[in-house]
Amino acid sequence: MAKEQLSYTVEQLVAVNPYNPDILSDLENYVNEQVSSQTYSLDANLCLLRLYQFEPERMNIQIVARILIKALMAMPAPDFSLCLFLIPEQVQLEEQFKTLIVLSHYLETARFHQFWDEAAKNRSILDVVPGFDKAVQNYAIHVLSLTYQKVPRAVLAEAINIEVPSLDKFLEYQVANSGWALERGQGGSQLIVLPRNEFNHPELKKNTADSIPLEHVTRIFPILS
Amino acid sequence: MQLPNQWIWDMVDEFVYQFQSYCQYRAKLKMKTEEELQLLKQFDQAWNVYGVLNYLQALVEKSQIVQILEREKEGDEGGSNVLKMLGYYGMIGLLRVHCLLGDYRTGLKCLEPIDIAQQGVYTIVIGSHISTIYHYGFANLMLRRYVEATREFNKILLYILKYKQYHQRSPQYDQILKKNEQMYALLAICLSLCPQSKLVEENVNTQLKEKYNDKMLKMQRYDDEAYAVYDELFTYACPKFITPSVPSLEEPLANYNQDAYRLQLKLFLYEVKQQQLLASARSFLKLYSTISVGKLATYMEVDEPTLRAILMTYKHKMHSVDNDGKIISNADVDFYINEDIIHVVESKSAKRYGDYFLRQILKFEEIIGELDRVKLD
Repeated sequence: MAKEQLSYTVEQLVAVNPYNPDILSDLENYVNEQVSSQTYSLDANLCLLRLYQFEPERMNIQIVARILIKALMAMPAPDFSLCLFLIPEQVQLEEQFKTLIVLSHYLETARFHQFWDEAAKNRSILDVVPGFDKAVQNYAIHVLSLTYQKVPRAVLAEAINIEVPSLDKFLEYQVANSGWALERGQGGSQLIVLPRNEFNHPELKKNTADSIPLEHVTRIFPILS
Repeated sequence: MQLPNQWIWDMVDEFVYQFQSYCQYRAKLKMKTEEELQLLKQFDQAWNVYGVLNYLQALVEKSQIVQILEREKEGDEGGSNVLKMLGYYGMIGLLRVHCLLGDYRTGLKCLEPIDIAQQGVYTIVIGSHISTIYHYGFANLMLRRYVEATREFNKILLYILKYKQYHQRSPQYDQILKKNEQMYALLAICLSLCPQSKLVEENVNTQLKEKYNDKMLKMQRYDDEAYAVYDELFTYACPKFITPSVPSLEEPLANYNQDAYRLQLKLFLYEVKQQQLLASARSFLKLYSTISVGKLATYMEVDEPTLRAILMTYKHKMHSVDNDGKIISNADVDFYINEDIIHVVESKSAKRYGDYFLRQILKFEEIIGELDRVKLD
């Protein structure tokens, strides 16, 4: 309850003072708060990066790193780029930022194998933020379910970086809770049937061309009456 | 008090322009004389970025424009226009300043109270109309919302095509033409990354082909020459980015006026690079209704895991996320994979009869109204 109270206040602070340098330390604390409570506010973080942009001498590199890791965890949203747009090139050349940029590149291009390899080498940077692996797994599952109706087990395992025997547990859980199903493929290997959505079943896409939003129709109300 | 909207727009526009120019001027430290440096040191708070943003924000807040726009949706109008319009144009000024700073999301947020999809006050003064759409489209392009950017660029380019002749004598005519050219370049970029031929009107398309046909063909190729074209068009068409912080005048003086631009360009080219193989995948997918992953991999001369990554990248890049976290498809050619078989679905264009009829009904009503007003002697 107390935590909710605090986050509400900082969000309000940003809304009322979007261009006030005095809230800088509140925003920095809020980043740490987001890390420990596993919450996220892009707008508050962008506001902080903006203040750093205006007064580079006040920039705190560790805070920036946390913001960037949080932004990676928000994929598929483009938050990571949105943050980079505001961080001076000089700063981006720092070793840990270069690593994060490489990680982002692998995620953006769906090269999960390389991503997990690279992540394993840099646990010290990433482990600062709890929930990182889980967030990336969710992103991987998101991209897989945009792309596949039925995905081969090996492709899934590589993308989420879970190996036997944990994989079977994981699948069991998803079957029970997220509408996944298991099948045998042609070669006898296992296939995972991902939940239907309008992206992996394009025929489900609502034909928006046929519908007219109400506010467009309201324009002719005066004529109809 | 009432003032012409044009004057009010000019005030805000000029205010932002002066800020932008001052930042550009300040960043070119190498050529400065001793006296200039002294002045810069003495007045290091001149055109302070906090001041600029807070002035614009104050216009928006004091005018209560956001509430007014809410009320106007319910049809309530009236009162002096000055404060209201200052606030209104203040929002557009904020969009512009945030784009100059590379803060695209915040820029779009500032514009949110204005419904771009409809004709509105922002279209009354052509300078404001163009500035709004140029920055709105650019921000959407950087946010990978290509369809949204394409749609709005198309609309305004069509508008300029139709009406520019009426502005030939305007002192802003050159500015109109310049922005017009820049927006064709941005449209060429959008369509190269995300083909959406259905969204572009015939007349706009003809102009686009005339100006950029060769370059667009090159951009499809994704070799070094293609990057050079992306670089060239971006450089030509992007806003004049600024570095807002006060420079240190102590160290050996260096120009940093290109820093902000170089960063945005570099990040944009990253994005282009990530989408490197999508155009080729798209052109293959168009040829098939089904094809196996293995076969397509052979055609594209990559191994299977790489192809699977390319296809997932295609899906990821062709789906944008809106402010509420909703996923929106921007794909012209769509597909899904069933184990090892890719099934291709090309989106068919359906005619939008509904909107067409609505527009005609309104037009017809207008004509009847005009006829009613004609008095026959």
